[in-house]
Amino acid sequence: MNKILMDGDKLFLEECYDKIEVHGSSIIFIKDLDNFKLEINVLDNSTLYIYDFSTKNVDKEITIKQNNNTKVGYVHTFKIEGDYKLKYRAYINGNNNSNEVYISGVSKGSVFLDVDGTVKKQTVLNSLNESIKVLTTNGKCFVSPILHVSSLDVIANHNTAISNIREDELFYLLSKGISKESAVALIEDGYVYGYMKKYSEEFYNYIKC
Amino acid sequence: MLKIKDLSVAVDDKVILDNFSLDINDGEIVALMGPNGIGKSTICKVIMGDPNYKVLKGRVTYDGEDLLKMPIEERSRKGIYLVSQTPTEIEGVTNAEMLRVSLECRTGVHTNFFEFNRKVSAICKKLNIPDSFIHRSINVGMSGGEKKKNELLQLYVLEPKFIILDELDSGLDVDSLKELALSLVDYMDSSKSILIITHHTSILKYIKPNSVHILKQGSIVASGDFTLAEEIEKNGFRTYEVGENKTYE
Repeated sequence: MNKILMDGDKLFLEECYDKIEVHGSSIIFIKDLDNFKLEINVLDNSTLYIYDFSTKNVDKEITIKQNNNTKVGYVHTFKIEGDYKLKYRAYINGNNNSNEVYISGVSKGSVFLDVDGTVKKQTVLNSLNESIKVLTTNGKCFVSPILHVSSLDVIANHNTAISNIREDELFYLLSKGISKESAVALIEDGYVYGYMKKYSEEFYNYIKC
Repeated sequence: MLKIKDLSVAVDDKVILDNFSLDINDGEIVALMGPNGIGKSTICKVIMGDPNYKVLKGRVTYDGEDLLKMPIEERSRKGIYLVSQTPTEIEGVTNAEMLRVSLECRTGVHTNFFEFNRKVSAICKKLNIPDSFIHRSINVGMSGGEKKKNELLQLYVLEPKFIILDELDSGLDVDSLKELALSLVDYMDSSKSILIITHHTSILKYIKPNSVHILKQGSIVASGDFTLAEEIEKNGFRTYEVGENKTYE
């Protein structure tokens, strides 16, 4: 099943499409969708923001194809207790495009984040950025951030931080009279909800309800 | 209120405090001064219960109770409040969320959202802080002065009775320091006490101490009133050596 998004569309994804085509400026909200494999074609001069929230152990695959003068932002937060795999693929095939990936979450199980970006040869003025931070409280996380850059004119960055709860953050909250359990919950919520709030207050309010 | 007796503390097997003793009574403002790296901040961290600091010997009581046996959060709930030299940043956790949880942990009662917002708005107005502070991630993206203001906002909400200021003046311009210091003076009454850690007298001009002590090589080497601080400002800390515990009036 396919879908076309027109300029100004906001889609709360409640069923999985095979392909989505984006014309103009659109937003997609995804919350705990099952059996997820989606390909998105962002047409010339279009902008797409995807806000994706997961608490289910359901693997997902998102493929983004960008041509010319497009901008894509993907913000994903999660709190997972089992096994979870995300495969994100960005293909930049033309000029003057940007693809920004921001992922933040808590792993209490085993999380694998496979985030790839590819920039085609002889293209110009493109940028790829991947920023990932994961808190592992009694869990594991593996991140595979790969940037395939075949062009000489591209800005490409990635940074990943996988850690347990920081001692100084815990001490700070305890010193305000907060119990350890509540302090851990606050910090975890910061990774999952607080991070999303930074990018989309609308979606934050939706996932908090 | 607070009694520290013969306290020795080590960090990474290095002894920082050595037979340190200090008493602070209700309503008192005590200043502790000393050169950089001498252990002043160590005292703050030990009082608050930072697990990185190992107490080798000594006793600390707070309102007659053994403080060293108390968990960190209990010390806070009993009224101890630390303003660190560089307050920690916590991305994704707002001041409002943190304060609501803190109040709930203290009272055991769910915090009324509207009453909380009213209280905080009034405090923000009093401290000349934008309301938006309360909805920002804790200390994230704030200047040094803003972080200290943020800590003061939290202080007014949590209403502690023993306040530790670890180099509050560090990184503040003269106007910010004056504003913060006077807000603290306004907060004080005879039931509250302050321990000021500093190596400058500027803050002491606004928050006048009842006593001033000089710390060197792990213990107090001189005690006096504000004139001692003025002497330090003029002559430096080199005048005071370990083993010569002088009293200055």
